[in-house]
Amino acid sequence: MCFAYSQFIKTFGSVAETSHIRPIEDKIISLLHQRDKRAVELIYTHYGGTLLGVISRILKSEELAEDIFQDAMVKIWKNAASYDKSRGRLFTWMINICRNLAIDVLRSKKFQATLKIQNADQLVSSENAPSYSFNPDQIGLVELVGKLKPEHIAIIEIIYYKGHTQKEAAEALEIPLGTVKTRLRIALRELRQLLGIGHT
Amino acid sequence: MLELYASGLLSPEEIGEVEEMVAKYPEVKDELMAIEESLAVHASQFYKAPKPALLDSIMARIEEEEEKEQVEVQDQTQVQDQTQTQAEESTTIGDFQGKKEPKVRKFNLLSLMAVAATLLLLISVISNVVLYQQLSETEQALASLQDQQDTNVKEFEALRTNYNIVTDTAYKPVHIHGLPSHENAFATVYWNPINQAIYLDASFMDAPDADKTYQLWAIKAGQDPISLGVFDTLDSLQDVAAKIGGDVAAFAVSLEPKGGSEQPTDVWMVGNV
Repeated sequence: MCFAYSQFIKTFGSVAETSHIRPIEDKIISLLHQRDKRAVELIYTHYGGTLLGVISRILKSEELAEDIFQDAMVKIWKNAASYDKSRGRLFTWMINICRNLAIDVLRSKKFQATLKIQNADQLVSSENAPSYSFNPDQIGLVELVGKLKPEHIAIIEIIYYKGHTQKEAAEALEIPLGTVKTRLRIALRELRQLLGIGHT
Repeated sequence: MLELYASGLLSPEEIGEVEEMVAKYPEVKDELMAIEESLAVHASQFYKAPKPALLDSIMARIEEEEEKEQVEVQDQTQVQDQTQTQAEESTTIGDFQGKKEPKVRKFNLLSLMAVAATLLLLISVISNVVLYQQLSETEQALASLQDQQDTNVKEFEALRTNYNIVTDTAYKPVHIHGLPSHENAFATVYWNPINQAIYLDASFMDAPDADKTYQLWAIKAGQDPISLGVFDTLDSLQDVAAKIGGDVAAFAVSLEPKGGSEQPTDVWMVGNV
């Protein structure tokens, strides 16, 4: 583990949901394999906030996000057998499930229709406020991520939380298509540096 | 590429390529894990504590899903597991009765079929025996009728011959009457003087004693009686094989010891031509 990340942990305390607490993840994986429903409780307790947060970030509607969060938890339970530990962390796998479900809803015609009749002001305000309920640990993280260049925050936001394709991202940010990929790579490298994860 | 992969922006083909690379090269894998880790940490900033009621609702839905799955699994395996399940659950009276029912029905059907098959076989065997007996009886009856027919034909032929001889004017009927000591005895000789044929009708004569026999004689003037053969009882006209030429004065019948005699010993009947 790199110095910057240790520094981050020291500075802001443990953000439970970032789950560098591997023993809990291992425990959950083993419970999932045994089809023990306590796994769901552990996921809910340790990762529920981030999973719901990701969904809320994508869908902007608290009620809808809660519905999709439930769907995602059931899907995680049902598809647990398809999780392959060698291909990445359980936490990442779970985030991707939530993200994909939420983006599917975001792209559905029904959601697009409801979105249109919503007040434009509401949308703007919610976009400006990334979290609905702050937890003391995450304030530090928000500040840390806030140190990224605005263009890097935007590219991560638009690809990761708006479900835009590269082409859509290029149009929304008014940049050439080729730049999207480059900018995303640089943004993620900056983020990693900031968080002190892996070699950079 | 890895950034796009982590963002879910790749085509299924590209995803396959990335996963292949990740599996092959540990450093690629580390790189991807680092990207995913930073995105996961990044995601943590949106933390939003879920309401406790959500957990209850999630657990309820998972229970529901599991029941649905179990029902499906049960439906699928019910047929093949039935026998096993019966064996396992036979200690519980309720289940025992509930689950055993189909097996009993199957068993009943099987025994019903067995009974039906046995009955059919039995009926078939009985029918065969009866029909075979009827066939035998019919064959016997036919044989008996054929015998009867043969007999009738023979008798008819004999009667026709008798009739022909009796009605043939070439034959001279010679009635042989009993002498006073045997006055009830009677016979007739049909004699054809042209071809010398002789027929004897002795059907009204009683059978002689066991050690005796009748003997027929031809009497010619100035000669000893000429034997024409012996007989016991005669049902119909008898062709007498012996031939005699010339004038015959009379025919006579005598009672002789078994085998006959050279000369008549006890003459019973005489008939003049």
